[in-house]
Amino acid sequence: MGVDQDKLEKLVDQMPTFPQSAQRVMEICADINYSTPELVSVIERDPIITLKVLKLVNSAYFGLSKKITSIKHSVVYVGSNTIKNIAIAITTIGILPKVAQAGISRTDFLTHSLTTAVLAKLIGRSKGVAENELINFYIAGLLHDIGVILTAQLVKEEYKQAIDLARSENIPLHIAEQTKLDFNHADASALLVEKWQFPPALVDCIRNHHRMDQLENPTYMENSVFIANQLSKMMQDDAARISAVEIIPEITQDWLGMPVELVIDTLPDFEEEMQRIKAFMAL
Amino acid sequence: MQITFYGVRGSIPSPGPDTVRYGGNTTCIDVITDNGDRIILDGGTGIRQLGLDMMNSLPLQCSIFITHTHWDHIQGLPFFTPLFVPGNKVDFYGAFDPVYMKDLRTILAQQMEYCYFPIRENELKATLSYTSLKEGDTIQVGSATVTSILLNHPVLNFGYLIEADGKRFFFTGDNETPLNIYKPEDEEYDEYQELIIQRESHIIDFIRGVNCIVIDAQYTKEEYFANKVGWGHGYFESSINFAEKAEIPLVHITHHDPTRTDDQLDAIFKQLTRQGSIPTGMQVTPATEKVTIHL
Repeated sequence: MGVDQDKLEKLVDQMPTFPQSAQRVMEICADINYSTPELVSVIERDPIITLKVLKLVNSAYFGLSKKITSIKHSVVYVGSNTIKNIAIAITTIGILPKVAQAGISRTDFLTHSLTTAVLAKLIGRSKGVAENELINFYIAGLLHDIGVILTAQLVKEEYKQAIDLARSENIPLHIAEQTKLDFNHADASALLVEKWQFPPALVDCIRNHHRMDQLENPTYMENSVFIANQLSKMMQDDAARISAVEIIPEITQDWLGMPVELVIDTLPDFEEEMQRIKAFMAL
Repeated sequence: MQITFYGVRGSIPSPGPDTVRYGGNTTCIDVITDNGDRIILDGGTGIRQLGLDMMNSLPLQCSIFITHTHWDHIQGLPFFTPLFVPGNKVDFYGAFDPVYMKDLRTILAQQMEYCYFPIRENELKATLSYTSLKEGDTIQVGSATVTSILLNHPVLNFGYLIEADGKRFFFTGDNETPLNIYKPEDEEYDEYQELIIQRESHIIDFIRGVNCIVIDAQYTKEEYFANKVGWGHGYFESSINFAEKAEIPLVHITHHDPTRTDDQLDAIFKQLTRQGSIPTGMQVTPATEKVTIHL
C-alpha cells in the first residue's frame, strides 16, 4: 500500500500551523531595530518558550543570585539582547517534532536534523553566503527530514517496513520509501514547510534534497543541505543510521571543490556550535 | 588601597593629540591593597603598559577580574607581558557566556588563536587559572575580597566590589540603568517599573556607601536619548544620580566615548557643575590614565 496523497495532505492540514511565536521570534531577531515589548509579548504568549527561557536564565550557566520568575523579570535582569539571543536558539530547536513513530528514535532524529542544520549553515558561510541568508540554510537543514516523522505518523506499519528495507539493503531511505510506499519524505517535508509559508527557495531545497541528480543548476542552499545531510549520516553510528549515504552528483562535487571527508576539517566552528546546541536541547 | 587607571576609554582605543590628557587606552584598572595584593580589573589595551610596569619585580602574582568579554575589556591581554614569563601566576575570573555556552578560558583563548595572534594561549609560560564566577561569589585575594554583582549590558557584565584594609571600592564595568520598555499608558508599565525598582535597590544596597566608585558614563544625556538607548552604557547624569542614591562620595566617570576629545570632556564637566548636576559633597571627575586614587 502506498501513501495516499489526499490523506497526507489532510494530515498536513491537521498539523498545527507553524508556531506563530517561533516565526515572530525569528523575524524579531532578524531586525536590528526590534521592539523589546513585542519580543516580551511574543515569548510570554508561548508557554514552552517561556518555560525554557526561564529554565536557562535560572540555570547554573547564568549563575544569578536571584530567581527569575517572568520574562519581563528576565529582561530587567539580563537585558533584552541576551533574551533575544537565547530565544532564537530555543525557538528553532523547538520546531522539531516532540514524538516519533515506526521505530524511529527521536534522539537520533533530532541529532541528525540539528547536525545537518549546523553543517548547512557553516558550509554556506564558507562559500561566502551572507549571514542574514544563513538562517534559511539552517532551517532547511533542520526541517529537511520532518516528512519522515509526518509519513511515519500516517502509515506506521508500512513505514517501518521501508526503514527495515533501507537498513537491511543499506540503501537511502527515500529509495526504500519509493519501493514500499511509492512516495518519499522530501515531498512530505516540502508540503509542510510550504504550508508554513517558508520562502520558495527553502521549500524547493527541501523538496529536492533527494533529487539532486535531476537538477541542472542546484542553488547554494541545495548543495549545502545535500552535503550537510550526507556528512551528518556519515557521522552516525550504524545503529542510528536509517538511511545510507548517497553518492554526490558531479555538479555538487565540483561546487564543493574538495573531498567530502575533508569538509569538517575546514569548519572549525562545528564542534563548538554542536556543543552549544546540545546544551540548549537539554533544556 | 591604591587604584590606578591604565585605560579609561570605551569601545576602541583612541590615541592622538585630542585624547592625550585623559588617555586613549581601553579599560584597565590596577588595584593594590596595603599588603601589596594585586587585583586587575579588565584587560583592555591599558593592561599592556601595566604589564610592563609590573615586570621589575618577578616572579609576580595577580588576579584579573574581567567584567565582560567585549573587545575593549580583553584586547590588551595578549600583550600583557607577565603572561609570557615562567614562574608568574595569573588567576582569571569572569562570567560564563550562557548565550554561546563558552567559559572564560575558551573566550580568552579564542582571541589568541593563530589567525589573530602568533602565540597561542596554551603556549603562555606563566601559570594560569580560570574561574567562572556566579553572581554574588566572593573571591579572597590575599587581604582583599572581590564580590561580583550582575549589571546591565548586552552580555553578562559583572560589577566588582573590592573590600580591603577597611575600605570599599566598586567598579561597574559597562552599565546602563534599565529603562522601562513600556509607555506610561501601557498596562504593563507599572509591573515593569516595579521590577526595575527592585533590581536597582538590590544593586544600590550592595554598593551603598562605598568609598569610591568608577562608573561607566559614555554618553551625554542628549546623545543617549537621541539614539543610544539599549546600547548598555550610562550617560553622565544617570551615573551621577546612581552614585548619589548609593551615597558614594568619590566618583570617577569612565568609558569615555572614543570620539570625545579632552577639551569636550572638560567642557562637559564644567557644564555639569554649572547646571548643578553634581550633588554637594560629592566629588566627580573624569577617570584619567595613570592617575592614582589612594583610599
